[in-house]
Amino acid sequence: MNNIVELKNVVKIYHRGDEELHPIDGIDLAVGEGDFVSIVGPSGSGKTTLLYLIGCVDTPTSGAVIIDAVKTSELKENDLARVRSGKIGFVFQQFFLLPTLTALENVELPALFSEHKAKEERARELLNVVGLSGREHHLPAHLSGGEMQRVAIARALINDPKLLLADEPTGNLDTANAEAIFGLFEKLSYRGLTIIAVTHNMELAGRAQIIRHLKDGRFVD
Amino acid sequence: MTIVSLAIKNLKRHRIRTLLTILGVAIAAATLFSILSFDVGYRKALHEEVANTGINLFVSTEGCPLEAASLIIHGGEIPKFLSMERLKEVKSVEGVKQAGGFLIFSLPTPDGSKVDLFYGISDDVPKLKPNWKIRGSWFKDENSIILGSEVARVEKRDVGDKIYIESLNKEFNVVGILERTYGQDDGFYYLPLATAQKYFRKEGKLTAIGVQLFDVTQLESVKNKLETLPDVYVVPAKDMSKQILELIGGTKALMYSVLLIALFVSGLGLLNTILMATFERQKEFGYIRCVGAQPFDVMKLVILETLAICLLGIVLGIAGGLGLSVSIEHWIRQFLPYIPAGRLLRPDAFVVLITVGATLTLGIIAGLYPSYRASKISPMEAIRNE
Ligand SMILES: Nc1ncnc2c1ncn2[C@@H]1O[C@H](COP(=O)(O)OP(=O)(O)O)[C@@H](O)[C@H]1O
Ligand SMILES: [Mg+2]
Repeated sequence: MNNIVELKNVVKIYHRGDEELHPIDGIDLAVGEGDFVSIVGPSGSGKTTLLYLIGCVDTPTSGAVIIDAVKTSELKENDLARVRSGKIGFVFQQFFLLPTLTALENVELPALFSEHKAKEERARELLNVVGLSGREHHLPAHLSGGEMQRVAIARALINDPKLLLADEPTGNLDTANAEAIFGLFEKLSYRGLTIIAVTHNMELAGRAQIIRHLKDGRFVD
Repeated sequence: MTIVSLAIKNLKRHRIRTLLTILGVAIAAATLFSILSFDVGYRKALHEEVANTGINLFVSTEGCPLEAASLIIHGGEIPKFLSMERLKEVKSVEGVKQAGGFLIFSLPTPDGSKVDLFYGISDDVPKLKPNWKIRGSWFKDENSIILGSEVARVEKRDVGDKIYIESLNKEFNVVGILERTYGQDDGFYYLPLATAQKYFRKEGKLTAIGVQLFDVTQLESVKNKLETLPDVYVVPAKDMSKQILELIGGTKALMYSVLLIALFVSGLGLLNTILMATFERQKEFGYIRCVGAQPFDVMKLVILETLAICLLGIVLGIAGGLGLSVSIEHWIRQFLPYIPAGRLLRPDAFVVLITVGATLTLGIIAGLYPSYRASKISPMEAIRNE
């Protein structure tokens, strides 16, 4: 089976003053097409940083990141943006919704910068899928944390990505809604979408085919 | 949603700021539009006037006779005068159909509030002025006066009334009113030539002679013949527009410097607004980039916002320029050394095109730097500031 994500000895170093941080400290990872992977680990273990590297939002200090046969760790900003737009859906931990756009427009936004352009119908569908019908025209400020999170999930799916990256996608949801989102992920994964989800919730993590444990920037399983 | 509606949504965030910036652009566009309309209109009005006049050649002592007139109107040195002899001689030159003599004078009113302009004209002059329509009659005697329409309006006189001219200490009978020409001629008192010569103590003198030819193709040869007369300077009417355009060159230079300032100030206003609008949205540009926008998409977004402001400013500016054109024309007229008949502000497709083109160019220039900066914001920069 083809690997859609491959990390080879990836290291990310940050400098904070004189201090050198290694949030990612030598990671190897291979995720096959259609896999559903959970990443668990304590706070500060590097989960978000890892997702940024896979999601082409950030580039590694050393090592190789390969997404769908493209070595993204060597790409320039323009090409990284193209990979983000064409292949990846990202649910950010803090959502990153635009405050002036309605829920519907936020979901449509990534399509504007892809070859899909306008996709209002699909955006409505996705809002319906995440259980937000009737909230289309609300601004983020008028949505609860859980609702914003679900808008972010719908937005991540608008460009029909090959790979869905979700950073604590149920962090703000009650049990029932968290269940529903993981149920949705299972369904999407069953249809062939590759998913990497970071979570605190071991019970939900258990719904994935593969669970990886991260600690101090390394896998410990 | 499109990238254009996204840009417009962004502008609506700070309605007042956006409106003020649009207003700034509108003022620049209106200035540009009005000045170009004037440039085009003045040239056309002048050419029309020259084309419509029955005068083919002007004979004066030196320089352009209209320049002389303008000097008088604006209080410059009164130039030398032609002798009446010349009028007879000019009339007898072969090829000359008719000729009329003018004596132009200006006198301040005794209270000094304004300057009255007088035109002494010989009986041949109406034949040389086909656009003149006189209500009432031609001069009946040496006490007759004909008023330009503007003079008649200001002095509240009509045909049959008497008018006392304080500076000449004399009462005249208003025998006719020259109907509105929308030009220079509206502002004069017209006196019989002999009367004017008497009261201005220029017996036997003329400021200029207007000459009409039998055949315009003979212009060069008649001009050469006229130039053999002593003390004369001959100008073809068609060359006068060039000389008058030179005469208003200074006024135009002033207008264009005002325009440059207007463009510069509104460009700075635009730059400031767009720069502020991008600084306060750094994070959002980062988010947009996170979900797949190219640096160029961000640049496009900011440029679109700038152009949206410009377009609205252009529409408002052109509408304002059109709406205020009567007042603007009235205002500009005060500064002109010579006013041809007809409207002076004549916007056309060319004027609109240049206004739109120049204002959009201004917008693109003002938007270039902010949009470039915005496009350089990396996703990680936006995220790190969370
Ligand atoms: N941009 C950054 N600059 C400096 N340090 C960072 C940056 N991003 C993350 N870190 C540090 O890297 C470590 C891992 O962070 P993160 O990946 O957010 O962990 P997690 O998501 O597992 O909580 C933390 O110690 C964090 O402070
Ligand atoms: Mg995290």
